[in-house]
Amino acid sequence: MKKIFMVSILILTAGLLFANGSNDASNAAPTVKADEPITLEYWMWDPNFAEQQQAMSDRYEAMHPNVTINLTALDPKSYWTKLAAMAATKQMPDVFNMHPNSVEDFVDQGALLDLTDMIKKDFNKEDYFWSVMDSSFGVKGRYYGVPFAWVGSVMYYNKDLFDKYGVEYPKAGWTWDDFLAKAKALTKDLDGDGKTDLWGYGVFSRYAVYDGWILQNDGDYLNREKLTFEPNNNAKEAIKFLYDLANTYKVSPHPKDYDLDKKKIKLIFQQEKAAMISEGSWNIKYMRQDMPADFDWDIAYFPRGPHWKADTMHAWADGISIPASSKHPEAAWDFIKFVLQRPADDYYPGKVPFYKKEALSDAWDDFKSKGVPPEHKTIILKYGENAKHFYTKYWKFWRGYASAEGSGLSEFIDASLNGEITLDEFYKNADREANKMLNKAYR
Amino acid sequence: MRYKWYLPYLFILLAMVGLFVFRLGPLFFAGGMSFTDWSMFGSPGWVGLENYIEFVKDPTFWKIVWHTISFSLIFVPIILFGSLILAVLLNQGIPGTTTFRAMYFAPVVTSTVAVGIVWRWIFGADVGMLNFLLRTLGIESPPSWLSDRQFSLVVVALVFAWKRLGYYMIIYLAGLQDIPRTMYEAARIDGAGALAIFRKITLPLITPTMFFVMIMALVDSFKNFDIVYTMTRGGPGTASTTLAYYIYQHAFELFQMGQAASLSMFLLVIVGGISVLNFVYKSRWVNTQG
Repeated sequence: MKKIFMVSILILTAGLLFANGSNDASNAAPTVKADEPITLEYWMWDPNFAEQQQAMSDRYEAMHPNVTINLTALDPKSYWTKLAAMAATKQMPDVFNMHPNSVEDFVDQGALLDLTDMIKKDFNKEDYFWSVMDSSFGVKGRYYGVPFAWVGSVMYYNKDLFDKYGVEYPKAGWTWDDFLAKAKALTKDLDGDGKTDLWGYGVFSRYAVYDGWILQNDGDYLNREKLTFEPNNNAKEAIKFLYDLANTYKVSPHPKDYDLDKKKIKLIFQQEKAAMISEGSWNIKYMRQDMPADFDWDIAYFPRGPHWKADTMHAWADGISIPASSKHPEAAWDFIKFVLQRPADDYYPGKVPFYKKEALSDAWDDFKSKGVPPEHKTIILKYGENAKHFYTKYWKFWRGYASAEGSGLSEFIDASLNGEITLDEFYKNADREANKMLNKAYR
Repeated sequence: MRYKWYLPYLFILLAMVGLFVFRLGPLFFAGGMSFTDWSMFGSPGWVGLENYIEFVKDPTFWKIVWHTISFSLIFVPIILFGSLILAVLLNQGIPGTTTFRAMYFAPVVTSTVAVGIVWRWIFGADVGMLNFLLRTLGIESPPSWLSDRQFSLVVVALVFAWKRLGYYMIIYLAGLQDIPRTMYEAARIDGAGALAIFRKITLPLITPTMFFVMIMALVDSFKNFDIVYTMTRGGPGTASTTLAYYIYQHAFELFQMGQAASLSMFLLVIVGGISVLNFVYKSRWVNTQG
C-alpha cells in the first residue's frame, strides 16, 4: 500500500516537473564565461517598487551587455506561494527577495545558496548595518541572504496634540514612567460623556507594535537555545506594563473596541483618536503619502524599561538571496552587489539602505534636505546599530501573522489587552500554543 | 456505419480525461500526499497516519471542526428557508418582481472580496454603520462584531448566506414553476387560504428541490475560505477559522502540503458523510411525483 502511494506521488510529481519544462540537465553546468549571454530572473514582492527596480536593472544591463535581467514583481500575498512552488520544481529565479521570517524555512529545505564566503570576501562590515545582517540572514553562523534595506519599529506621536495639552515631546532616553505620564496627560474625554475620545497610546498584538517594548527592557520571550516560547522576567515585566496600559491605567483602548489591525492602528492615529502609536518605520510613507496626516508629527524610539541595558531596536531586513540550484551564482552575486548601491532616495521613506553611505546621506534624511516630517527620522539609524527580532521557523503561525494574524501569540495578547483573560491565563495559553508550533518547527 | 464496441467510450473520452485530470487525479494525489510530510520543497517522505493522528490529538483541530459544522448549521437553514420564502414571494407575479429578482441575485455575482470588505465596514466596532445605528437607538456599547469571539463566526456565516441567498432563490423559482397551476386552482376553488396552499401544496411538492438545495448549500457552506479570509482572517484567535481556511494556512503559509492534504481528507469525510446521511434519510421527507 505504502509503495503504491509513493509510486503514484512520484509519477505525478515527475509529471508536474515535465509539464513545467525539463531543463534540469543544464543544472549540472554552473560555470559561466564572461561574455556568455546570461539571463537572470529576478523576483521581488513589491509591485509599487518595480519601477525603481527596473531602472536599477536597466543601469546594470547597460554596464553588462551580456546580462539580461528579467524582473518579476509579485503581490506579497502570492509571492511566497509561487516561490515555494518554484522551489518544489527546482526552478527558482536566479535572484529573489527574501525575508527573515522565511529564511530559516527555505534554508531548512536546502533551497538557498550559502553566501557566507562571498560576503566575507566582498563586504567590509563597517560599511553596512551589520547587526541587521547578522540577525536577519545569519542561520547557524552562515549567511543565506544580503539585506538591501531594513526597517524597525518606532513610536509615532502627534506633535499638535502634545502642544495642545502642554505635554513635552519624547526625548532620547525617556522611560516607561515618562511614557505613562504623557499617555495619561493625553487621554481625554472630549465631549464629557464619560467615555474616552482621545487615547494616550494605541497598542495591540501586532509584532511591529508590541515587540519593541520587550527589547527596551532587555527582555526576550524566546529561549534562543531551545527555540521555545519562554518569556524571561524582563519580558514579563514589559507584557504586564502593556496589559496595565489597557486594563489598569486605561490610557490605551481595548483592541476590540476599534477592531485594531495593521490598518486600524494607523487610522486611530490619523483620526487623532490616539496621540501615540508604535508601528514599523515603513509607515512613514503611509503617514506622508498614502493617507497624509493633517497635523504635525514625529517619531521617537520606544521608552526604556526599568531593566533597560542598551538601546535595542526591533528591526529586520528585506534582503536578496540566490537559490542553491542557481545556474549563474557568480552573475547573480555581482548583480546583488550592484543593487546594494541603490541611491537612498530610491527607497520608501521609512526603509533604510543597508549600505551606510546611502543611509547617512542627506538624500535619506529628507527632513534635512526637504523639510518633510518626521524631524527625527535619523534616530532609526542610531538604534539600528543594535538590531534584534523574534523570527523563527513557523513564525507566522506561532506569533500570528498574514493569514494567521489573529492566531498564535497574537490571540492571547489581544485577549489580555481586551481584559478577557488574566496574565496568568495569557502565559498558560501562549506557552501551550506557541510551543506547540515551535516544537513542530524544530522537532 | 457498423457498431464498434469502443465507439461509446470515444464519446465520453474527453469528459473522462477532464474528470481524471482535474477532479479524481488531484483527489487521489491529495489522498496519497496526506500520508507524507511533503513541504513543497523536497521529496515527500512517507509518514503513514502521523498527520491524521497529530490532528486527532490536537484540541485546536476539533475546535476548528466544530466551527466548520457551526458555520454550516447557520448557513444551511438560512439558505434552505430564506431563499424559499424569497422565491415564493417573487413567484406571486406582483409588480416589480424582475427588479427584486435582480436585486437579490446581485450579491451572487459580486466578488466575495468586495462583499467581505463592505460588510466588514458595516460591522466595524467604532465607525461601522450597524453600530452607529445601534448607538443612535440608545445602545451605548454595541458589540465588536468581528473582534469578539462570540460573534465573529456567526457574522461571517450570515454574510455568506446573504451572498448566496439569490442563487438558491433562482433554483427554488425553477422548482416552483414545475408545480402544476391546476393544483393551486383546485385548492382555491375548495376555499384554501394562502398559508394552507403553501403548507399542503407548495411545501410537499417543492421537497425534491429542497433536497437539492440542501445538498448544494451544504457543500457550499464548506467552501467558505474567501469570505473568512476577507472578513476575519479566521480571528479573533481561531474563533472563525474553518477547515477550509485551516487547510489554506497549512498549505500556503506553512507549506506543509502533507498536513494540508490530511485536513482535506477530513473535510471530504465530513462533507461526504453528511451527504450520505441525507440520501439515506431522503425518502422520509422528500416527495417525488409520479
